[in-house]
Amino acid sequence: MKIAIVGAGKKVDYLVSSLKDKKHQIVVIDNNEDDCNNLSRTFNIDVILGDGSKPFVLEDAGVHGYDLLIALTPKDSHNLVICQLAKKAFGIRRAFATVTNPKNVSVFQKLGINTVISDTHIVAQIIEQMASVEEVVNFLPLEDGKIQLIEYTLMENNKIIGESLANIGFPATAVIGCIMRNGAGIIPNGETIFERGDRLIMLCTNEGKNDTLKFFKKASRD
Amino acid sequence: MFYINGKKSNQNQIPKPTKRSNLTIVVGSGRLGASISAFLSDQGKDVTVIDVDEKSFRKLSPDYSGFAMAADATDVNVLEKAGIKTARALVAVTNYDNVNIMISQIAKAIYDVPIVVSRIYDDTKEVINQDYDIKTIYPTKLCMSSFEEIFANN
Repeated sequence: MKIAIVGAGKKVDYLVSSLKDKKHQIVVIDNNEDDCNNLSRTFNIDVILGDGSKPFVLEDAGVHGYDLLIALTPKDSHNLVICQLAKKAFGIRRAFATVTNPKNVSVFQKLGINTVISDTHIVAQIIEQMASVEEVVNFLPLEDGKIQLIEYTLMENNKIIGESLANIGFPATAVIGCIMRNGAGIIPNGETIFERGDRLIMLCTNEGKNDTLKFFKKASRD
Repeated sequence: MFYINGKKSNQNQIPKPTKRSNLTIVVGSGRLGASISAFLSDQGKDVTVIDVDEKSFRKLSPDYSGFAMAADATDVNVLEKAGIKTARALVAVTNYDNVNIMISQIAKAIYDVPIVVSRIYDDTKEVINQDYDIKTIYPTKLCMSSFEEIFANN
């Protein structure tokens, strides 16, 4: 893949080294001369010195037809303009932006930049979800939290053990996509019988999450 | 957008304000921003000027009778506090093109402000606002046309 990265600093150092290991072609654009020198010395990649939110700098970097652009500058407004230029003027279909203000995640999405990362936002989301349920092993918010991937382990006292999927009245707003049993994955159907220690991997919408959690709360309590 | 049991979930919809005040929000209290604010306030319009630097409000004329807010207007909460939900117009004239672009797009695409004006120095960034109904002032183009006029007449 051809990847353009705008911005520099520690985050970029790490990103470049991991992307380079995977044999991607990389160009980095940054307006700090020292950072540029460091990058080109360490990694033997193309580094362009300049303001990445200016069309002629992106032109110099030759990012036309690149597969991916990542905007990592510390200023949210820069990252917005860089991503919009990439999409509208340089035909790059996928543009990632990082933001320092978590509120800008939804702002950017409304302005056409769909992949927005705010580290504060992500950490807050994870903590909130970890705190809300007990037996749920893992939560993975997808599509900015609109879809949830939930992992749940069946403990000894769970009522659905020994029952088949068709009989437990599982909420319609979620699906059990896979059951991990003794290290192997099983794709369940209506006749699948649950066993102790099964790890259920479920997919649901944000609204369906509550139904699912309520269902398991009830099954493990009575 | 998701559908649950055939019902549309409307998490993403922004409530559209119905009533607009005659407020104009001016972002950036530089020479242009301060002049625009004074001009509008002279005409009897409600004006709120926002700038990150409190010292920049010195440029406002002594007759200016609107509000001044020292805050970062790229934060939607600041814009909401200034009254963007009901504002009639927003003018983005900070010294930074990218900030002006971001704020004018927020005003148009998220808050549906009727009149949005922005100043952009670098006219090669024109492509970026083309999908939005934003009136853009390009100082370079204006200077160039003045220059051509002067040169043609001499």
